[in-house]
Amino acid sequence: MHQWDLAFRVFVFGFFGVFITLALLMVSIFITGAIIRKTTKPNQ
Amino acid sequence: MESSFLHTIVLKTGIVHLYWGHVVMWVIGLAFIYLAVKKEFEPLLLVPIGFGIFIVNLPITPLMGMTEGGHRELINIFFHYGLEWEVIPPLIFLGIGALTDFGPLIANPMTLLLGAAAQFGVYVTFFGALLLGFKVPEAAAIGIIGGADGPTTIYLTAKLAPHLLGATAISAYSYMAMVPLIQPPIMRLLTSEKERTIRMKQLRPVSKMEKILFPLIGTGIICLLVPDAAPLMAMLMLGNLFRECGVVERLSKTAQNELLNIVTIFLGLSVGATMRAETFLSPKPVFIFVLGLVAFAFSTTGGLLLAKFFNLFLKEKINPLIGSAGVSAVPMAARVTQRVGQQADPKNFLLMHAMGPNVAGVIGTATAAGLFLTLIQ
Repeated sequence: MHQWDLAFRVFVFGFFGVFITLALLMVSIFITGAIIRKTTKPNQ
Repeated sequence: MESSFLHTIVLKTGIVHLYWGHVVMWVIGLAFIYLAVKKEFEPLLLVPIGFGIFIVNLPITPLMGMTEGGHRELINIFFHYGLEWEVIPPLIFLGIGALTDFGPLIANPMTLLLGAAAQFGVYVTFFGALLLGFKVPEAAAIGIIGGADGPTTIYLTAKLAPHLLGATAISAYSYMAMVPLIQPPIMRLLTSEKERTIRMKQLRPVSKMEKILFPLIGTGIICLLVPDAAPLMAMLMLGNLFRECGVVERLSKTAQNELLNIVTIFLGLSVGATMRAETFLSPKPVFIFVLGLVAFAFSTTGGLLLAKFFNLFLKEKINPLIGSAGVSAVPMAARVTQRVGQQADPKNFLLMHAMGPNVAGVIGTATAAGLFLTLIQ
């Protein structure tokens, strides 16, 4: 029983943890890209 | 006197210690070498692995045990310092990082989620392994095969279930070599002809600054959230920084070539040498092989179905085939996407689009491994 409790926790926190981590990385890339594109635009 | 001396000499040869299990392992080892040489299946790994299997199953060879003085024997030294001390998998990641262009991922960061979805097989297999009677740490080591990432599989198995190292490593690399056979039927089954012909907009160009910042941001975020993933992620991103910063070309080339080649030799030999007949010939490796296939199939499915789900909301549809490239096997899974896509529309070029989820899969699998360590250890 104890093993299944741990397994369930590993599944929930593991699988969703991967999603959350990569989603945060995705957001950071979007933000960084936007800032860089904005700051390196030719002077207008 | 002489006959007793002769008797002692004979006892010191391997021949009298042979049993059928050794011969079975020779066949397995030689089969790997055959597959590498004749079919070119992952030859850089299967040759040293096959040879490693062959030599440790020559009885009483002083290679994988301890000497009478308590010192490790030759391959045991490679195994201990390379794998048990967790040196080799991160060094391989350094080389992979130096070889990888994260440009397609930076151009379309949403593909990171496809890489995350392709970890689905890892967790399905984790439960499958538990149902077959494996313990939680063993199930995690088996599940990670679904990430299709050899070094991560080895890294996690060495930490959680070192006795399964040979079986999980062989399973991971065997299925990675068989990606072109395993994935296409699943991809065709889960997509319509119309979906496979979806053409995607050309990726935007990525600036040098973005490419330089990516390894720093990637390391920071992943290692802050999942510190146990740091040995793999930090080295992957360091290798990538070498590549992208443009001022350490020598280091980048060394990481891509000489260093990667050297550690591959020790990795292959050490993994092969863990497969001794006495420990390997049991039902467990067979279960692990079957579960490895399940893991691959579900990982392919996970990435593909998330891509289809995205299409319910996106104005500019994505070709769902690129989701299947979320399994790490770089660049083979992306090439398979390209091939299957071109079978439906010969003028559709999906390779660069598939490289995004493909490299995201590497990050996703390393993160999944880190989370397993965090939650289980």
